[in-house]
Amino acid sequence: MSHQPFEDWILGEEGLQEGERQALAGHLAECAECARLSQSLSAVERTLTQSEALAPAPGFGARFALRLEGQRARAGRQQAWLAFGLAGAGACVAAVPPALRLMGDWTSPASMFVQLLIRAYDAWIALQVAGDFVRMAWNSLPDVVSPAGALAFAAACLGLGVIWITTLYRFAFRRVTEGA
Amino acid sequence: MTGSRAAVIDRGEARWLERARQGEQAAFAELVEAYQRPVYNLCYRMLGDPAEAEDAAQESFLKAYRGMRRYDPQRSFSTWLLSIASHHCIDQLRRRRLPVDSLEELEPWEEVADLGPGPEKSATLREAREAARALLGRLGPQDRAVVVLRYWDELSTEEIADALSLTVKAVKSRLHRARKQMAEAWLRDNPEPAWNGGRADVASAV
Repeated sequence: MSHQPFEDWILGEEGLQEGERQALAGHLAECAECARLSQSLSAVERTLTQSEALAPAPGFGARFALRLEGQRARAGRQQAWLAFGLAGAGACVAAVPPALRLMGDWTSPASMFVQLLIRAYDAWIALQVAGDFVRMAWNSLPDVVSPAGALAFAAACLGLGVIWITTLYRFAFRRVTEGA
Repeated sequence: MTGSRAAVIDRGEARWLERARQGEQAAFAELVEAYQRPVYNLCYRMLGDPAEAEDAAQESFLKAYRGMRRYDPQRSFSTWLLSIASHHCIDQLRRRRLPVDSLEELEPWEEVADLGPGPEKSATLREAREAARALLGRLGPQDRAVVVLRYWDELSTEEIADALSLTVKAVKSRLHRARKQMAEAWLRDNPEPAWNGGRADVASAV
């Protein structure tokens, strides 16, 4: 005996036309297999609908808030380590050329020590020269730049600073606060 | 869930959604309160373990929180949320790499919800829960999700298709197959009474 389309009608969810309904009723009265399928499906649906929706243990929202905070803190730490790592890597890359040049002059531990002293002394002198230059420029600034110009320069510097901080916030730290 | 969903919308879900999309955590907390039960229930029915269900539900809400800016307000929030939870649970089940009837190998479910009813009602509820667990345990992850979304969340075929990224035809086919598998499993587990010519349940079947 063919069980089609009766099996599809039993298992399907579409409403049946009156003619189909009568045909199915007639078939179920004769076909033990389809009748059993129909009865067991009814039992299955009763079982599923009797089993109520389960709720989580009380305090689910509070646990979620804690988890969100923990995740943000983790993301913040990861981001800080990433920034630290990138800065460190950049510093290492920048230090490679002078290091290579310095190492080229080394022939023994004593020459290395002497070279390091010379370089440190050179750096100290360069810093002092730079400091003198900045002081001189600062003292002669009123003669070169008008007060309005100085104000405009300061405002421009401030604006650039704000743009920098905003950009940093938007593209780095804000992601952490959003948990993204 | 249709009734409860409507109630939630009445309570100002649209306002919470808008504020949550702007990053307001308090508004999202309201959504967590409103939707914790359907999300947890879905995870519980899918995974069959209270601890895993709690973890999956929390992760689903976290994913939703992170994705709030991408949420399209034209779409039903509950369908979107249940979609996230369904995909998360399906991934979890696939990671387990256990046979599809693995729910039966888990410890019996713990009582975590609704401890209010008396002993008799509790026993009945527990029996129904165990029977439902056994039936769902026969199904593969995606078929299980289709059945849970249909029978507990009362989503339409179109909504289930939307939630599970399937076609409507695929949902109908999966539901058909799942119903047949569960009916056959029921027949195997429950020795059938003598056939009475199909008269007993003909009326309810048609």
